[in-house]
Amino acid sequence: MYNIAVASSDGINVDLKFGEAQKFLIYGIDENIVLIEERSADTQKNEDTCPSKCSEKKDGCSGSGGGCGGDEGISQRLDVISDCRCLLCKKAGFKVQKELEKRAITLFDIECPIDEALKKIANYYRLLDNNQKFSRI
Amino acid sequence: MAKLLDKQRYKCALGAMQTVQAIERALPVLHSGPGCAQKLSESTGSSGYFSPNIFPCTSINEKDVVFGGVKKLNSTIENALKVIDADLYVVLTGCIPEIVGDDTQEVVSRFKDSEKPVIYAPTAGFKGNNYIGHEQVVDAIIDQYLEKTDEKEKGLVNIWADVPYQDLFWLGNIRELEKLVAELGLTPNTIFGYKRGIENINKIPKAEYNLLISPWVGLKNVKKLERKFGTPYLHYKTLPIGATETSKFLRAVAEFTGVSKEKTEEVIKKHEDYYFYLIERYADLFLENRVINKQFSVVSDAHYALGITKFLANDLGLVPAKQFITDDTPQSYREDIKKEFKELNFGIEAEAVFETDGYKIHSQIKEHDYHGYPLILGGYYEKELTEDLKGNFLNISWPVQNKVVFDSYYAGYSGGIRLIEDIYTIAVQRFN
Repeated sequence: MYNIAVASSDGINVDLKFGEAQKFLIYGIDENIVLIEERSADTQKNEDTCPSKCSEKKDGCSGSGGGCGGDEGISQRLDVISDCRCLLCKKAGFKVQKELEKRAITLFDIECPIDEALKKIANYYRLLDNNQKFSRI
Repeated sequence: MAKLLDKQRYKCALGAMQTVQAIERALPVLHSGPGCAQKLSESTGSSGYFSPNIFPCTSINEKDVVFGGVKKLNSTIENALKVIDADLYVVLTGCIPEIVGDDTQEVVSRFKDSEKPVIYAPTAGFKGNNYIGHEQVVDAIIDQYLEKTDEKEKGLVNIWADVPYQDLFWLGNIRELEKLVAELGLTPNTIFGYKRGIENINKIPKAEYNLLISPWVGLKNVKKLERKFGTPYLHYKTLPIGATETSKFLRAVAEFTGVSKEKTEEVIKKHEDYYFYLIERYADLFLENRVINKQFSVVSDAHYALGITKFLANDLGLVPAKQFITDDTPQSYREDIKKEFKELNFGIEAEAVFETDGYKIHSQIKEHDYHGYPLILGGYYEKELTEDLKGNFLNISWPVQNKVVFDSYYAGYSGGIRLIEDIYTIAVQRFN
């Protein structure tokens, strides 16, 4: 049993960037794939915690890391999904990628329906965990 | 059960990007994980217009394993065509995309109509080493790039020999072989190195003959060329080093291509005269028998093991101990190659051992009685061993650490002289 975090605006497609997500959908995988909960990713994004001092609050990554609240914001948002094996989102910046690596959370930066992605990933991990050969063909 | 290979002497099949690099203005495009070109960073002489550090690479990761990497491959090829000015783009696959099932061939076929040719060679590491990879690249050129033609150019001979970069003398050797073949009145055509490139590749189908100088690498290719273009091939197994083998080689080529005996003997005489003039001058050194070792072993791929063994036995009169062939020669060729080692002058026979494991090779060298200090010609791994045995060591095969070779060579008459120089330079140091 492990969890997967998904950044989605509609609960159907993986369609948000890491910094855009207000919440993460957490799916639990064992025999079945079940939506366990929604976790708020809205960490206190204000000027005090934002090192880049971005005055206007905006969603998405502005290139300066401002969208996701800077270094601290990244860290706080990742704490929300720290128990997950992987993260599905449309895109993630370089800093986020590095932080994910540190926390041993795999990033799948894709755009596709959630259930399709989860099925593929669950199948991949199942084979991997059982030392079986993985092939898409 | 998984095994460890001690002292590896080749790279995985993807190492064939060196074969591509050796073709001027040809660019490898890698569909592999990041760092797969890193394996080439140890070798010197691989910088230039394109170098391994800038080969375009899809750098696939776990996401591409699960969701497929073809999109990335498509964009990598597309952008390589836009920003890198090359004559030929060769897509090479690493292990991961082939295991998980990316259809590389399909993606490459989308570029069929692009301005510059894009071809594809499957070079996953589990398929074999870079000797096999080299064959795959040449096969890809034959299958996907070359077109049939009825036009034949009289006297044009394609020469195929060493695996570029894997063999540190590749450039010098192939140039020397070209020169020898040209002296017979033929027109040599090779595709590797300076000012050869795509134009020479285009000439391949027009050749009257293919000449393969190698115990086994490339045999598949010349057979394919024969099937596709009807070009007959001569498979000459021994790299000719020194007078005995080079004269034999020239006679064999002349007979195969119909060059007259008079012409051939004239060329041979000219070279032999000079060769033996040099040998005579240094006869005092050769006859001083405490200088040189009594027995020798070569540790290298079949190409050099065979060429050097024949040279040292036939021309220098040294006695071969065990010879170690480290290129993981496919089983089907082994018997034939072993036989070649039995056909030395003076009724001498050498024992060839196919062994890729460095530990086992070193154990066998240590066990053997060389009747004095040994002469070992091998990879850098043999340096320390030879020092322990108080022998003489010459680095002739990969890996190479204590030698810099630009365009030097051991092939041909003068190549033999170069090899004698190298060996005796080391041998005389013992006494001086």
